[in-house]
Amino acid sequence: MTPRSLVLAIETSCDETSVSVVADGTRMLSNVVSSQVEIHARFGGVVPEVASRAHLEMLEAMLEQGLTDAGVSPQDLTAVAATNGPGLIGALLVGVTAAKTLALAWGKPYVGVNHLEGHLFASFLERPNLQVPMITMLVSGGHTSIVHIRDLGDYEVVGRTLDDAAGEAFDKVARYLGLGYPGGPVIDRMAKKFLAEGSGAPVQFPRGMMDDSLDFSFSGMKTAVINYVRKHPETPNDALAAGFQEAVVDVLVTKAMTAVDRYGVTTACLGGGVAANSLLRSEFASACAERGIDSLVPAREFCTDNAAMIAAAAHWRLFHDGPTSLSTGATPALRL
Amino acid sequence: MITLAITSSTALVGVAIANVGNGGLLAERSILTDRRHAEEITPMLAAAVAEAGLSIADIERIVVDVGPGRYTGMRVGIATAKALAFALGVPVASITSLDLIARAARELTCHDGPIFAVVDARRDQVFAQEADEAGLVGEPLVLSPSELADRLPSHALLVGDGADRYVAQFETVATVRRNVGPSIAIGALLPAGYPSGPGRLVAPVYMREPDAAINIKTRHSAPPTKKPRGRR
Ligand SMILES: [Zn+2]
Repeated sequence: MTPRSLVLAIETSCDETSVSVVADGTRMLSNVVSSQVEIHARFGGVVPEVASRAHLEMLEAMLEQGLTDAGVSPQDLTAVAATNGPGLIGALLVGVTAAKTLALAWGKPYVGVNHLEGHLFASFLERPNLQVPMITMLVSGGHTSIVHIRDLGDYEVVGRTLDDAAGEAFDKVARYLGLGYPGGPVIDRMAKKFLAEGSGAPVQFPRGMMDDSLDFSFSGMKTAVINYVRKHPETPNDALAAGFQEAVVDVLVTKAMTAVDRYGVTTACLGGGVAANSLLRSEFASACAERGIDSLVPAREFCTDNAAMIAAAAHWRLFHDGPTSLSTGATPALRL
Repeated sequence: MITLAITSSTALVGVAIANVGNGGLLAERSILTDRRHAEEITPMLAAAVAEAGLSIADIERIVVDVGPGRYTGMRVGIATAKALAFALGVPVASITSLDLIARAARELTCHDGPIFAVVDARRDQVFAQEADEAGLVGEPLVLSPSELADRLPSHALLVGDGADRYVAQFETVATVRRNVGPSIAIGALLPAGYPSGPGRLVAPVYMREPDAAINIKTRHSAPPTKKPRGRR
């Protein structure tokens, strides 16, 4: 039986300030997210100092809204949690410090949560009865990895990117094509429009590292786009966007399915900001369906950074490991 | 009025608790640390409350050092103050690092000439502000140590981590002290009439734009890895 809990979590690892209250590790009562994407757009990427400043400015408003939406009072809480890595150190410390202080003031335990473990737990917010072992592919602007979840808390990263994260590759290609920041949504949109118009075939790009390895390399694919444009400068951007997206998704889904086969799991999930990509969502789901395995692609709000997934992971960590010491800080390069 | 004061914007992380107007200082803790502000501050707060013989809910006012100083350090102190004010529903008074240092220097030394609070601003600069008997004079400045040395009057006392770091440039023209004792206690003892308000109105004093924002102002565009083609 799952223990009862009511966890308030704070997520400030990158460019989203988020507060959430989750009951029993799976029932989301609130999840407020303030995205800084517009603030960073003019810089063409997330600027750490700008992000840290914005997190501090949003702190009270998000806490207030998170508690109000959930309709709970602080006395009802079981614990206060925060993402303590990986991420931008100045940004992480805003959330960690606030969570530790709230825990102390309210007389509750504090739980520091690994952001990547949070992404793994996002799936359980939608389907608490998902069966482990499973394969979860985490794809975001900061991470691209395939995780074999043998059991809750027992993870093996079986594949990772050797250079750029998938989301980074989207950003870089979009920047090269002059499409703005962030790259993922705009490339997704252009590709969709291009295919809907049926005005031609997407440009074919080589897939990186399509061997037995579960590791990824995206910087070569970015270079392939640049080289193609140099040779064929007249190519419309939407044909390039559609072709690039297709190549990235093809690599991601192929490797995820290789992992599914290799580890013999019957459940596969997606997580991370790039899991908001519409082609990746549909291709991943159909590849799993073809194999007859159970799959879950969480709602977009649980793929992008959010505090609900942190609260879900905190629930499990609290009952498994107990509270985190108030004399801890944050670890920018924390691993799973 | 039970007041908790917090400083975290320089290498000194400290908290103090005082019963203002009734018994004075109850607890004071501080530590010099290069980069463990977040690790140190929460246990230090818990220990100070215990040492004062209070529970955290007894705190009626928070005083926080809002910088200028180290960005990450000051945010740790301010996030602590904001979160605590949110949890307890108590007002927060902001004091600049320079004001806190200057007040402490005035009260904890017998120096009767001009005092300059000097905080390390990195990149070969310092944040500095003068204080006379009545308190701070003018506006805080960001300037190089040599520029500051050039404008120092005679018999000045310089206090702060910026004064200490560039001591070689100051000691021929002024008296230099890294710190003068439990400066955060002076924060906790601020009079009850010192202005305070809701925690959400507390704003850090950065005194500088983030580097990327400075770059974008001078170049009018982000530095792309490749020249944007801006097609279609
Ligand atoms: Zn993430």
